[in-house]
Amino acid sequence: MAPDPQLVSDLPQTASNVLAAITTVIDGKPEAAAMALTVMIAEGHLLIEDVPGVGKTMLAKALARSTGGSVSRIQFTPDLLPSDVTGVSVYDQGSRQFEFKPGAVFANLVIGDEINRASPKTQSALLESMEERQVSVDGRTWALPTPFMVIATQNPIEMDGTYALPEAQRDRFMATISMGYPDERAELAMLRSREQSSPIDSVQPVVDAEGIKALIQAARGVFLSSAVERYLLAIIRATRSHPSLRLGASPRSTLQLARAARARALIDGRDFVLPDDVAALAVPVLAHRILPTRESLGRGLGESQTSAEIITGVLDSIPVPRD
Amino acid sequence: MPKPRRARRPQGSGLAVSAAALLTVLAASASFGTLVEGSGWWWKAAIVSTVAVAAAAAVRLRWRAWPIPTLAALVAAVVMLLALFAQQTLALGIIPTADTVEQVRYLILSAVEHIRVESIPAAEASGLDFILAGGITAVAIVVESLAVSARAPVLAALWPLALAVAPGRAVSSESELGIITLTLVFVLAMIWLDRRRDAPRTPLVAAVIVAVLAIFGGLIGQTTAPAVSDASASTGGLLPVFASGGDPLVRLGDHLRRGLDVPALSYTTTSDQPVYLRVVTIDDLTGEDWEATPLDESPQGARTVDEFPAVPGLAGDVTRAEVSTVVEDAFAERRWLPIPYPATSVEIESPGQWAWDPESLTAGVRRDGQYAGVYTVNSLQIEPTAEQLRSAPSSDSVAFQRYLELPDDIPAIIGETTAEITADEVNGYDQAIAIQNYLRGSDFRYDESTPEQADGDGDSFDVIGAFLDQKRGYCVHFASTMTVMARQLGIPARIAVGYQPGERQILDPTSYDVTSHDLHAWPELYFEGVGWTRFEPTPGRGSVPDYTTAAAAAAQPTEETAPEPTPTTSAAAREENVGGPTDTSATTGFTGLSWWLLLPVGVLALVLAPAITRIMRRRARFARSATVSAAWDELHDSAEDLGLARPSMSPRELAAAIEASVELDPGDAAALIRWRGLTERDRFGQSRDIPIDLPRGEIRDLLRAMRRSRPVRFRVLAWLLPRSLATSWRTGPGARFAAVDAAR
Repeated sequence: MAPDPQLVSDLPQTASNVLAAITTVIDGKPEAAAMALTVMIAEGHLLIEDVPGVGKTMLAKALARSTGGSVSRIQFTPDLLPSDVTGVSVYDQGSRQFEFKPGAVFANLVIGDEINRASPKTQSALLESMEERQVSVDGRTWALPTPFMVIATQNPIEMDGTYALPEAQRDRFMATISMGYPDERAELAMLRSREQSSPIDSVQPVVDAEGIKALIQAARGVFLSSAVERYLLAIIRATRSHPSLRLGASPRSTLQLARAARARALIDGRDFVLPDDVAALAVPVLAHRILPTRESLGRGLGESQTSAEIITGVLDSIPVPRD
Repeated sequence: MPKPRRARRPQGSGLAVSAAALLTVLAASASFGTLVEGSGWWWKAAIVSTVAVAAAAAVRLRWRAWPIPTLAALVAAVVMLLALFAQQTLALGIIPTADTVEQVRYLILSAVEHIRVESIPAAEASGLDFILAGGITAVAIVVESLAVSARAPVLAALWPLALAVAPGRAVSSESELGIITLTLVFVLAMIWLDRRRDAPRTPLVAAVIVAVLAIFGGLIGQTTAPAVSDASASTGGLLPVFASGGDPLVRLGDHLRRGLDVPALSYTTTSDQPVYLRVVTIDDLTGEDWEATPLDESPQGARTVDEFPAVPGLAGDVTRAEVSTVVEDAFAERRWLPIPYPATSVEIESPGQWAWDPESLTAGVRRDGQYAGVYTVNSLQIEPTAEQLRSAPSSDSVAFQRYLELPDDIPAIIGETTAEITADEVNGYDQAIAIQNYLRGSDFRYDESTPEQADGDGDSFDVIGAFLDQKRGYCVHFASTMTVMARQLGIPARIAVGYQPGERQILDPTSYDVTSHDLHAWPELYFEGVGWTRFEPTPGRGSVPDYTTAAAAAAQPTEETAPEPTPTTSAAAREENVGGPTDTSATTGFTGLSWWLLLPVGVLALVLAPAITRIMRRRARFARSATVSAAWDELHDSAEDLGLARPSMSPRELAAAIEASVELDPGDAAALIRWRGLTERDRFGQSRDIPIDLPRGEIRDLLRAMRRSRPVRFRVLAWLLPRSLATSWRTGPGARFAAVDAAR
């Protein structure tokens, strides 16, 4: 399944084009942009966790636009129904048949804004279709388009009027990132450029759905050496016996970390995974899947920060393979 | 899977490791017990090193950064050493003065002298204690610093293990094994405790490998040590020849075989002939041990050495000359004075301390050992003629009965040989000459090592029997054999033990230097009218008296009559003898205390061992067939040695770390990135272990730039104690060199 070398040599260029396009919108956040693209190529879903107004939605939109796929956006509210997400069968008087009206989830890129404001039932409807990549309504099944990616944004759990995602649901996101505030220079640039128009309008597609499919296909063929495999497993297994954790990383996270690492290698123009890929992705991929103990949470840091710190500690304790 | 424990135990000050390090060194240092008498030195070393290590541990609680704890330990050690060994010289009990410096100088010099003169086990002395306490404490500080500050417990473990094993080369004993075992237990405890600290650095496997290597090294060292070690061990160690009790003849052999030649004394004489300096005599051959004839002191006080009695048996018509000999003794203590026979008076600093024995005319000390210093002996040089000796009447009177006694069950070969070689002689003197000529004949070979095969060093009749059979031995055998034979023939005889004349000084022909290798034994036979007369049956040693050679010429003109070499050539003669094919001990043996001299070499080797290991590893990685990945390992280790990198870093991280802290010119920087890419592909890519032509020149440039970017002390540390050695245990040398092997 090794990718065509010629294709591989082109793909990084494609990937960097996408990154460049996103960066015109989200200045000063190259890691977030790269992470979003990585997750897309790894066929995962991304959860962006941050306070309102730091550009979560903008990042999602920019990615969607630059990849040229269909985009839909769901603003989650407490009264949103599952059928609003998945779609509904409507009786057509003319044809005297039930006709399926696709919901918002039928798009290459679904932006789920403030997913934690929706009721658990609606949340699970989205999450189910994320995992299955299909929608079942009234006993019939409709496949979702390829590529398919959900970028959900979430306000920090401590905020009012939110339903925190259960652990099992969070596990279905490949990675969690937080945007963070832009630095002074980036914010000043933003302030000036937004005077005239929103830069999102100027983003042009640099790749189409077929191009993304090719990237996804190529990422699957990226070589993962046994040394890096062992390194990856060592990190996962260390979380399971870690004294500061109630819950370690799941086997699903092993697969997701490996997939993400392959995608990252591809974006970097390599046909093999480095330990660095695994290390760089460990926190985004693993932090939201583990549960720190109460004692370790008692130090005043938030849950996600504590988790990130623990994962960093695990990385420090595991020797990087030398061969 | 190492569990990170940072969250629970953020500090891990390593108090337990410090304690284990201290116990390790103290256990290991107990091995010196085989070399030094008593245990006082150990307690002093224990006190000083405990205080030093405690100081380091206490300071570390507050200031963790090296070298502050180590400096604290050094200061504490110095204070404690001075308090123990130079208390009276300290002003206000704490401030060192000029006297303190002088005292320390004295302690060190006296220790060196002590080591030089003493034999194993060395008697306790404050200088020796000082050096041992200081040395052991220094090792304790090094071990503690390595184990706790540098987090290199395996490297630290090498020191005490070497300490425990080292004395084994000098003396092998059963207690050694116990000490090594105990040391090992503490070493393992130290490594285990280190592993319990946060971010462990040493796998237990590495510790076990080190331990096993150390033990095997030690055992191999013991079994391949020169046989001489066994010899000295079998006789219970090398004791002073003329100490109270014990058998001087047994010890004499040890001293002769000892590789180290120690000055014993020097003398200037007015005699025209070389002087034999007699120390003790042995006349009782019936006991289990042949002990020196004890000093007959009754009545007290009357026998002061400033005037000796008349020479027993010396008649007026024998030619004699008055001889004066000034002896300068090198020993700190004597129980017997080395003096020529027969002495008439001794001028010595405290003559009251010394008394003469009426029959043997030896001079012994009244109480414990006494410093002899410089003393003048007036003696007679007796020159009897062969006729005078031949005409001596039989002296089997009751007074001489003790000089004729022999046990009943002596081996038959002695009597048979005596009868055979004296068959033609009836006169006592001629018989004695016959014996001397027989023993000096070409059949007999001087050999200091042979008696070992004959169960010990010649003080039993079985040994004499074996000697007559094998015809190999040294002065003790020749002297005791002639004595026994003379007694069988009814000639009163005894064994004299002392020094042969020694080597004539080049600048002053009347002066001679005598060393421990000049220790000698010879027979004295009694002839009425002449008295006790010296014979020299040992070939190649001493000088043959004129009265025996002249007679030999007259009686047996065909036999060898060449006069024996003068003392100036005796050393050369000795060389010839010890150079014989069967004699290996005198030249190969690091017996006795000479291992002390090897100690600095050993310590140097130990200190340089990490550096040498590191250099060898570097060469392996740059070998012709090595892969780019192995070369990258070398870059990584060099960066780690210089404190630029952590042990666990991916190529990408390492390159970033180097770029961040080393100023590289563009060429080097580009090379680094290119090299990094090659390494990554080699290690993690799909087609691995392709030998790539190494950019050796680029690598060397890069390494040089890295070294230049660091202060000198980092560079020295990187060379002497490369941190990467400790790390490599983690990934295992096999794993590290797998790439090299695969490329071959």
